[in-house]
Amino acid sequence: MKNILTTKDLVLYYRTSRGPVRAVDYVNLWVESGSSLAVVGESGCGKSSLAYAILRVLPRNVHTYKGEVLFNGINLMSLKEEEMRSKIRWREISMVFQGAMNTLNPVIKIGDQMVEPLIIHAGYRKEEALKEAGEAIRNVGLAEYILDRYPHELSGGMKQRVVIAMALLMKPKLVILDEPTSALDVLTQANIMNLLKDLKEREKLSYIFITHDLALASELADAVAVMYAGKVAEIGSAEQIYGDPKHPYTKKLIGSVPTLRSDKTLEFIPGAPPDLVNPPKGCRFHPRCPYAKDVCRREEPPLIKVGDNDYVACWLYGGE
Amino acid sequence: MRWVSAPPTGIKQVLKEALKTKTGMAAVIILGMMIAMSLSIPMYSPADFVKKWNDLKAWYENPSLAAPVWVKWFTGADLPETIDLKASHFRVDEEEISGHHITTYTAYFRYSYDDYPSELKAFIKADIGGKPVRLNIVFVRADGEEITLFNGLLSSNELTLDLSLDPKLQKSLARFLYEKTGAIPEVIRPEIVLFSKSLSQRIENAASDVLKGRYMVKFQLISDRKISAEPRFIIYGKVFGLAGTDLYRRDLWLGIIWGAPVALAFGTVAAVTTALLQVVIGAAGAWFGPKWDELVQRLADFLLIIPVLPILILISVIYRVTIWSLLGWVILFSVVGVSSKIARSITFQIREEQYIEAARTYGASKTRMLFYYVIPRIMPFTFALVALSVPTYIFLEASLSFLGLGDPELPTWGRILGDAYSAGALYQGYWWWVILPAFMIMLVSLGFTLLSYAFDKIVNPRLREE
Repeated sequence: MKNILTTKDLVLYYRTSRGPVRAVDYVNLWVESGSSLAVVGESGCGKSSLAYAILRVLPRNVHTYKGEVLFNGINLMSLKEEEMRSKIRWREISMVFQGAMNTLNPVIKIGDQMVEPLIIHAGYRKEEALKEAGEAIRNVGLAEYILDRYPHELSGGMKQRVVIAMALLMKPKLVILDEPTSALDVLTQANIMNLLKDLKEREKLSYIFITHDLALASELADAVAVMYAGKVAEIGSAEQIYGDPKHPYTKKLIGSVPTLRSDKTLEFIPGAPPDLVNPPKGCRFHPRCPYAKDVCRREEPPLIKVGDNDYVACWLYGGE
Repeated sequence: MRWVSAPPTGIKQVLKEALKTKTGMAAVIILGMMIAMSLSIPMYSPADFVKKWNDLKAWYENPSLAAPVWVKWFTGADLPETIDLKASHFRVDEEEISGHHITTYTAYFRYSYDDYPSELKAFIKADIGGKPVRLNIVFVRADGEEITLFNGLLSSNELTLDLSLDPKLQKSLARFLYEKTGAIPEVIRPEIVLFSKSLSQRIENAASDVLKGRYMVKFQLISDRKISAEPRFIIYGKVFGLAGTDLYRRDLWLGIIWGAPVALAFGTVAAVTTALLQVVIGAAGAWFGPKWDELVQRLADFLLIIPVLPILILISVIYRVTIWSLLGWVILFSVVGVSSKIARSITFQIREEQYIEAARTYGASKTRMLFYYVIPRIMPFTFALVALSVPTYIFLEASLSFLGLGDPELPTWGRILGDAYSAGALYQGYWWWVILPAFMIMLVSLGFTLLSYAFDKIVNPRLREE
């Protein structure tokens, strides 16, 4: 199948007083058209930065930003900011931000904020845009009167649905979901996940689903990319990653997922994620890896093909 | 995380909230009074009032330096109000004696006040056709004593006799007093001699000495032809209107109510415009990057430290300022300022909010975000500041007017005070001329200050009244 989005050696470093933070460090990944890719990893491993790098919404303290982001064959990096703003963002790629409660402006009514993209991009008049927004809000299972409410009058789940409806408003092809359910209770979470699955079927969407929750990712993902310290540790189909994880980090990660009412002792990974200003030489996981060899300490592993579409960045599966 | 309910944004919402507090109520009552006063102007004053205010001849019907009417309630004495005997008050009698037409105009009036009038004036309008006519004006006191006020030729179509200052009348009164008492007092004031009870005593300005009763004024025209005339006789009082009069006989009440819209308009327009400009410029500076921010903030520092009043004085000495050009100068000198600094700090906070990031992602332009997301959130914080700076601008205008450097046409409170000061009103005891406009300035300042406290309580919930 054709890839809707491919990143090639995508780099995003932040400038700090201690030196550059390597939040996204030569990341290669791809999303097949109509499928969803889950990006999983611990907090602070560069997942959200990856989303910003793809959409080119950069904070002020960018140190380095390079590489290629191919969207349907177009390199987004070569587009002018204005083209990016008017043609790509929201029309082609939209995003659901982490923490819906903060994404909505507290002093503007839901309807008025929802129509913003329509007014800005499609040149709608307000009444038309509100009609469209009403449809979108029904689409995510909310009643239209919500449009007349302020954000603080809605529950967390409702706000999350509003934000999702907003992301789908311009009928984009790819939606980046950045921890869309992180602040919600499990039932609401399940609810939202079912909605996302449903929307994917109906609207033929592609997702990049960013989460730290492996179990949740398995619900939606066709493919999974495991990130560690700004790099992709392993990428492959969901069956492959969940059924037969290759990278020691992935193994440990899956082992640390709790199961209901079982006596299993949860695994954990000794040590802490590395400092992204001074990452360890060689494989970034080697200080915590039980299988670390000499080469791991010396050289960074490349992505090594281990299956049809499955790659792992680990010296255990090739090289020397 | 528990969210405090969002701060109110709309002006309507803030006003509604403000009305619920006690200070807000008081402010609304005071300012409502001022506004009602301004709206009542068309009922009181003529359309060309501003012109009339500056035309000192237009006020001749009023007494000069009369206290407000309500002073009567405090002194207990019935102070005289103006008695204006117009042509319609006079009875006309015509007779013909050996070829001479004699036209007599007679008017009676009752004088029962406890004090002497302040001034007397006689007017006559007659079409004499270029040929002089003999005119007699006779005054008959309540005790029947007859005094001739004028006896001479009327040689123009109009004549105004300022009886209180007429040297001929002084002489004839001196003769009259000498005949009655055998002595001539040093100062003869016709308005006292004509209305005093006892001529034999030394004539003083003593309230108990006023002769109350029915008086008569008679104008007699003697000519060889028939002449119609319009006589008028004004006995000026010592109290007038709600706010008295000034040296130039102007009705201060009209000046004071006219001052209300001028002060309100100048103060609010200046405060609102400068606040809006300061917020927009301050926020835009912070929003569009450090270079603009630096420029805006240093300019704000500069404008904050330069002394505006001396500069405005200089400007109004060099140029002739009107209230509108003054407004322009004031706005120019406050185009950035305190509110710019507040706007800047709040913009820095809002800039980091996630909904701004989201707006950036869905493609809102920087300008749109600034005006739609950022500035509406700053506005409530400036309401209190706006209300508080209104009195500052009113004071500024009053100070310049007081120094005679304000708008030379409009009657403003500052200008009334300036006139009073240059006439030495306080040394002379014309307190109403000073206290009333000063009181109005204080009242309007109080109103806006209370309003700003009320706003402060709304946008700063920690100050909320329980």
